[in-house]
Amino acid sequence: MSDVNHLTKLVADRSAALTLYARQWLDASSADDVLQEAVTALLMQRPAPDDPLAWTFRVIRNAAIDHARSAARRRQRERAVAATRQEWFDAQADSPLDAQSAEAALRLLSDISREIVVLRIWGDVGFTQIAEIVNLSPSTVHNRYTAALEQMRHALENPSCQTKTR
Amino acid sequence: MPDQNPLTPAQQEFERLLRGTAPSAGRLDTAAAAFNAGQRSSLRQLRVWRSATALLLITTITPHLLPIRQTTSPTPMAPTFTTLTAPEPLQPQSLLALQQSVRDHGLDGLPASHPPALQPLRAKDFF
Repeated sequence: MSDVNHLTKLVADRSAALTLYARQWLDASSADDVLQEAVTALLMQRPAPDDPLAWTFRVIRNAAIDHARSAARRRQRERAVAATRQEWFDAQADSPLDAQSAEAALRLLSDISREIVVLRIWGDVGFTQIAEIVNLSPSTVHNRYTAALEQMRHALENPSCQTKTR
Repeated sequence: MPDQNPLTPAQQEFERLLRGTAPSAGRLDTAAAAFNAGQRSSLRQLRVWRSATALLLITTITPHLLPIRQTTSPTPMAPTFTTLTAPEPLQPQSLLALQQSVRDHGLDGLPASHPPALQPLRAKDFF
């Protein structure tokens, strides 16, 4: 299998996780645009990155943060969000966890903790790779991750007392 | 790479619970991404070839268009000295000498002329 086919399959298999990751900063439409550009950039790499998935997450992160910083884009994003609200998770009948509750619990976390949880749970990225993506030490990432899990579990068990951590 | 700090069973169970929630799929179009990547890569290669050609052209043509520059540092020129020598004495029969002689001494200053001796003409010279 050629590099391009391999990379294409890799990102296609993880597209939902990559999209969810981009939506930590962006509305659905902008997240899709950023993801599309990141995948295009990935497929242009010669040779391919050693860890293409971590590389793509990092590119998405940088692009999404840059995108979100622009004031004009922020106004555009707010309008787009108001126009088309899209959930982070699909509502599935057989899912053990309600999609809206999961999103609400995830939104309670601080930005960096939420980022780590998304990378670990849905991106299936190891702590060492996450540490490289978010520029923290692996032990810090692990500590933040376990604390975030506890916070989410507590929020899901006690829906009435949900307060966002900064 | 295995993670160094294993999670507790309760945490692992909660991880499985969260993983059961599927994120919404985005609009990623991998075919379009692959096409754009190929197109941009070929454009990039084309730009590289164009740049290389332009550079080659410039390096080939420039020496013919620009005046040749002296590449070595100019050596200081040694001053040349011209030795002034006394003017040569005028020949007695030269025009300047005759003019000066007339100015100084008048017509008497002119040297005596020495006309060539005339040979007597004879009839046989004409026939």
